[in-house]
Amino acid sequence: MAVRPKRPRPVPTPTNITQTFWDGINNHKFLLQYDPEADKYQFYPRAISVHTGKQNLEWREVSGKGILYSYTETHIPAAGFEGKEPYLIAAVELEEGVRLMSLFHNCTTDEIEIGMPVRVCWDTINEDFEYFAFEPDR
Amino acid sequence: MINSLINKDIAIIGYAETKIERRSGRSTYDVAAEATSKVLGYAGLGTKDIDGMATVLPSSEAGNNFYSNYLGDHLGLTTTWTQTTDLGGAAMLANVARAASAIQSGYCEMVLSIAAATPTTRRVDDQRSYRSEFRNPTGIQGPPGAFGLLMHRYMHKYDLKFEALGKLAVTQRNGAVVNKNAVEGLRKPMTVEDYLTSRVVSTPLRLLDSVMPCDGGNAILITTTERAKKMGVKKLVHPISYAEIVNFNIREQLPDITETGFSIVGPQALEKALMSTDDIDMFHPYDDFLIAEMLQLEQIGFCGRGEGSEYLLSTDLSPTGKLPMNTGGGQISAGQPGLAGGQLNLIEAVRQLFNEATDRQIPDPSTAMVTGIGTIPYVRNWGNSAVLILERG
Repeated sequence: MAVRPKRPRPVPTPTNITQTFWDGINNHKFLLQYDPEADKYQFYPRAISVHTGKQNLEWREVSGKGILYSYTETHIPAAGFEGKEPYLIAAVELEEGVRLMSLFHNCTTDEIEIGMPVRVCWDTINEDFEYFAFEPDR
Repeated sequence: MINSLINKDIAIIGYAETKIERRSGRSTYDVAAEATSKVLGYAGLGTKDIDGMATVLPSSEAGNNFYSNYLGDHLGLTTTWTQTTDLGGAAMLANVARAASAIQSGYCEMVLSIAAATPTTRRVDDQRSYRSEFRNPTGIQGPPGAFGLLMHRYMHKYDLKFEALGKLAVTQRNGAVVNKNAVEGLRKPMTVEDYLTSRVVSTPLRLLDSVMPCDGGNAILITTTERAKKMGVKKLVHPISYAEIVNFNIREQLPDITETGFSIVGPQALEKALMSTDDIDMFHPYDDFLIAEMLQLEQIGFCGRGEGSEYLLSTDLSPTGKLPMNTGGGQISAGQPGLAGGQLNLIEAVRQLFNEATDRQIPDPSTAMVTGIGTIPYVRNWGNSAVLILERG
């Protein structure tokens, strides 16, 4: 029998820094902040380039493809995920040189392997908000 | 390399701690008052003798932006140097160095370094920035999830033997069994098998890899060696070296998640103390998870990268062994009194150096290394690493 979550899954409240990112996600576009002077991306979104200290950041749509850096299978769920356990969380390195973390879909514990190709996918929190997740890039 | 501690003109002259309890129902102030009264009693001092106070911002008081005032007010302290440090589990080691600097600069002479936290009774912290958008909605199980990611990556790169972590768990548990201040629920012997079969939280991390949050408090007194001698204090411990790093490799977007700031501050603290790891009589590492202690052994230099499992298995870690570790149980077996846990292992090191550890006393120790860890940034290893080296006076 499924366990009813004590509270709903947390939904991000976008800020003036992150609004563009979440607008992208909700339109199924993956946007990253890029510092043209350093020629580097960064994640999570910030109001400053960690590379140079400048506020010169541009948003660029990226491939959403990368490799699995690490993973963990959650057996004691986080708040809002009660009844979904066990579920996989992935740490992913995108081709653009940033690392992210989210749920990992469409893969079993037997199949998951560090170094496997992965891609971003979409993960509906509720009818108003999409989140990002990852899945194997088969 | 400048090291103003090496001359041993700063001394820790007293220590005290409360019993560690789950859901004690006590306030932060109640716990702080008990630790303060006990440490003043230990040193034969009164509230009027304290002119400096350092503390850690605990999650049970995190919404209070005048916490230093409220705490000093409750305790009856008028201070000329006052510090609340928010570096999590590294804060109380950071406070020893900050108090020493303040004393050496003439701002104060007798510092109460007090840690009190009751997160299993009241928890009001609210960590913003990226957490509410990029961590909490993913379903990752907080620090155990982050350490699950870290452990799998370590296993991808190196050989991890779980029986080695189990041995460390059993060693610390043996300390908690004879530690009257340890949380009662953990004061029973355990085996390596118990560790290997304990409940999985977030693979490969298990329940017995982890600390149990509790309530509790502890305190030390820091002054000049000169003042201590004038007071006729017989037992002194000198902080002789300290190094910390905050937000280790934070600009790197693809950092090696198995590397930590201890790779920098470990060797630095030893160099400042003019010591090698062979000179360390006991090791009291910050222990939120067992793997964190193993990474510290490797990165401070007790053994090489990837050799932590073998080192743990081949080294006697008991009070009579080659490198006694967390002899009072550490946080993992004595219970983690919230962010007051950051001073727990320091208290045990001072107790050992004062030769007051009774059933778990290390034979005649003269040096100790204590460490602190704070926060887990987004898909990274921990952000704060601190190393303090102590020497008996």
